Amino acid sequence: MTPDLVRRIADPDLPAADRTAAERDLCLQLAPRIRLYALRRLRDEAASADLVQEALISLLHNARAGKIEDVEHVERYALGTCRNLVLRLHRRERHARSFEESAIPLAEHALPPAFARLDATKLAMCLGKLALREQKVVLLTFQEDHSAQEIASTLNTSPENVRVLRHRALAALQRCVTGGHE
Amino acid sequence: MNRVSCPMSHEQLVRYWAHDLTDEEADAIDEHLFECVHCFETAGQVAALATGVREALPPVATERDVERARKLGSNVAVNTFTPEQAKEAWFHKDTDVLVHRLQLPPAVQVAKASVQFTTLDGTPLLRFDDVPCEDRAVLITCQRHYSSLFPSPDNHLIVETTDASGKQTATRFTVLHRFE
Repeated sequence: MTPDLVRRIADPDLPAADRTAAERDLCLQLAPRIRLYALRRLRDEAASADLVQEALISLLHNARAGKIEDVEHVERYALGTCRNLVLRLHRRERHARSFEESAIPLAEHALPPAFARLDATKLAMCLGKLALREQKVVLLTFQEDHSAQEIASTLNTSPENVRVLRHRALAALQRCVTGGHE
Repeated sequence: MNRVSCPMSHEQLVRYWAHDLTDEEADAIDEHLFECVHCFETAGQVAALATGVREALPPVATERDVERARKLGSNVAVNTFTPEQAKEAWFHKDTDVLVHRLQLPPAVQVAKASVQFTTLDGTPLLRFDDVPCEDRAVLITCQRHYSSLFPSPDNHLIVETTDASGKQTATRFTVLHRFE
């Protein structure tokens, strides 16, 4: 499906409307993956949204120009684009790009999310139901970006035990949030 | 090149999202998630939890949690409650988080604490076991949207503590929520 979209985008014999439709479908397919990648790497919603747009613009430019050689693996190409953009971000070489000639809806609200948001109230209640030690591991990991080694020092345990507690806590949270109780 | 077993384990995805893998391992998972629909969906579930937790404030919190909420821009108001004394707690329009500081008497020694929410006639509503208790105080973080969880804005909060010898004590606080 995705390789076919790339071929259609690059096909000058297709009507413009068909090429635009292919561009839109490609964006809708790849946006969630790019967003997930960006959220993990950048840990920031706004920066991730920017990266999604930049990556899609770059992909569409190259798809239009027929520069994506291995169309069978366009996902890998997309990942490579993302990696380059993150590297540029880290080197503070990022610059604004426009894609005004496009009819593709690249605005944040027009692109699908990487995942469905959880009910914040329910998640907070579930977090409160974790054992205190598990809650600490989860908060130190995902709120304060502490490593397993650092958390182990704080809690006087081993990094391996921190990993067990963290995995167990996330599984319990998942059951609690989706099942309504834990 | 690291190979990724498919389907990926929950534990592996948690480590991925916790940045607890080598660069090579993380790169291999990046590649896999761009190509595997099933693992991408599972990864999304872990990511939803991790990003949700990043923004969450536990309902029974530590001073550190409250300070973090302040630093992130929440308008936090703190009310201190003493046992057996009913007191109003006002949620003003600009308040994001109302912290009920349940201060236990000096005689109470705490090795472990739990807190139970009930209606004024004693009907149990919510219970949290093994909660943080610092300087003999339990911090309840109340947010406006929690009101939907309670049938009435007036509640008893009962802190059950166990000391090092195993002796148990229950201390009751009465919080009357008022909304501006």
